[in-house]
Amino acid sequence: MESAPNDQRPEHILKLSQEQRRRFLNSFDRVFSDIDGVVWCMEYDIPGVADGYSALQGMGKELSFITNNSVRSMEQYERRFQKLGIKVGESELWHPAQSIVEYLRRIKFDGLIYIIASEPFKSVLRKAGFQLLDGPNEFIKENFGSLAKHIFDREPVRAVILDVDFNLTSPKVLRAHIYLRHPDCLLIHGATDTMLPVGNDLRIIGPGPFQKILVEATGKPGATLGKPGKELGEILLQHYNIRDPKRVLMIGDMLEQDVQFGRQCGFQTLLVLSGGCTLSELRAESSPERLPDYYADSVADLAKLVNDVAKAHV
Amino acid sequence: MNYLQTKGGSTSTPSKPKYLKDLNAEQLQTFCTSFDTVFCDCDGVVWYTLGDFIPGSADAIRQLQLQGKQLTFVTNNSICSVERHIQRFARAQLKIDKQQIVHPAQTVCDYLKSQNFEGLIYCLATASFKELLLSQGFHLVPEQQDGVQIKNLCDLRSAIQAEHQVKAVIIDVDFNMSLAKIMRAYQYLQNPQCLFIAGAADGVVPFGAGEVIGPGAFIDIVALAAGRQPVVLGKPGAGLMPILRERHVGSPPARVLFIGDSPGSDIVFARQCGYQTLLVLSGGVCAADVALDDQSAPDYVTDCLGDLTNFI
Repeated sequence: MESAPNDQRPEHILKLSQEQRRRFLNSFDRVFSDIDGVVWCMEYDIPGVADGYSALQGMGKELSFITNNSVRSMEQYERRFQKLGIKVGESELWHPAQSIVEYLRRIKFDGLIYIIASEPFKSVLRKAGFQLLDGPNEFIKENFGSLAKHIFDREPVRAVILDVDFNLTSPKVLRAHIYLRHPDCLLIHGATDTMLPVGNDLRIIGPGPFQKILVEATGKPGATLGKPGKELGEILLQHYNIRDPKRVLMIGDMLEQDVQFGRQCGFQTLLVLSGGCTLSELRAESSPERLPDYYADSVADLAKLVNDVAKAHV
Repeated sequence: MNYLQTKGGSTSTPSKPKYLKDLNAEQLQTFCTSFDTVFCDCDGVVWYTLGDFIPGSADAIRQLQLQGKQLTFVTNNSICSVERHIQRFARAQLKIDKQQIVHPAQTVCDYLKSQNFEGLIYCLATASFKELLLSQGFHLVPEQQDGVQIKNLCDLRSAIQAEHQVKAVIIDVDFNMSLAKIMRAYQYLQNPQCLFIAGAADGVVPFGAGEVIGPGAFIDIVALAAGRQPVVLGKPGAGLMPILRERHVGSPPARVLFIGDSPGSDIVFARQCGYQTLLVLSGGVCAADVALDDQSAPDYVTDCLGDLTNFI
């Protein structure tokens, strides 16, 4: 057994024995890491994480980042990674807008898209050559005639995409539903979070509940290209040509979006307590599909682990 | 199944919906004498949501009045005030009294008064709904700069700021329900003393050719986030049931006929009340979509309200 058995409570990586630490570090070749709450928190940095990632890279581990946050632009991500001294190429940064582009290309999608999402998200799709419709982008007149004018539309929309939109309104949701009545119109979800941390002490209702309205009204479950979506997992496995998912370590701070996603894909999982989950929440988790194999205070603990193992080796 | 047995309808067995046009003279006669009270929806039944009277409906209403049926209109439409409903009936030479209209905004006002409510209200509804609250002496949170585009976290923070001391959150049809409004409602509801009241709560509404997503879907989001359920005073809310019950004190639920165009809100609701149900197909739902054996299956189906004059 290379990883901790599923029915055991997760172990803190710094409480592992020397032998267990060595085995753990040798049990994976590739690391997928979440960003918010792991690399940094919204409005502050987490000390020591750059050392953690560079220790893994120093051991030859392949490193990619997978976030559910498409509200930030690629340039903003790159700038912040650079500032922290973490080396990561643009192609190793996955967020739902990017994953949806890859998904649409794989299914050879060629049609009109109606989208409810942030501007940075939409610009990723436009840059990739997709044709988008959106709106209404202002409040409509309060009567049924105006509602009809805004939601009934004869454009041949063949995909509806829903991610985080600070300006989400009911006419947008109603309009999406009308397009989805067409049997060939796909429903595609980005992030599916129910509550979404967007700043210090600021959590908003995420896209999940609005996606649920569309799923229930149309009977279409939709494809999910944010964590913990099945379709995102399939794309990653294909893209990196992963034959043995057990040799991948998923690092994240959320039990559902990161741990459950990782387990679903067959990866090993490491929960860090530097973001959205506390030790008591971890201890209270009873569902086996959300229990990580390991946990740590933060990614900084990985640097310590790698150094200790290296020292013991000398 | 258990549910069907407890239903007080006089239609004996939970059978498939019967089309009025398929009934013979004797069956129609039995049907006509099986109810004394009629609860009737308006949009999609009496008139089209976007326009005129549905042909034949005014005559059918006149006939029900002539037959001495107790007639009450149960609408979920607060976009149109009670007075405007009365005017609309009057244009078709129908004399309908204020007391004969059950209207979410009025029902909510009555409820607040019954609770001796005092305090500030955060109200997500149409202008006409809010005007009624104001005219009856209630106080509303001043409007935000609605429709302002939120471009960043700073805009978001100010759009969802819930700084007032709010004692009730009321949600009905809001044509511009938004994430920011939902967030404010959710924050006010963190205070356990704050009442949570809903008017119209249809999950889907017949509109155009088919059904569109209704206010209930958004009310559910607030309820789920806040971890509490509203008192629902419009269809299909349990809070409306005792209000309707008071209107047929003399006759049992089985002698009440509920006429509506929405399987999800009219029929499900009426069945829960134990009423007989008649679904009309003039609102947007078509014959192929009529449920056969679940909670939204009506006792009777017909194309439009006018058929009551044609067949009976």
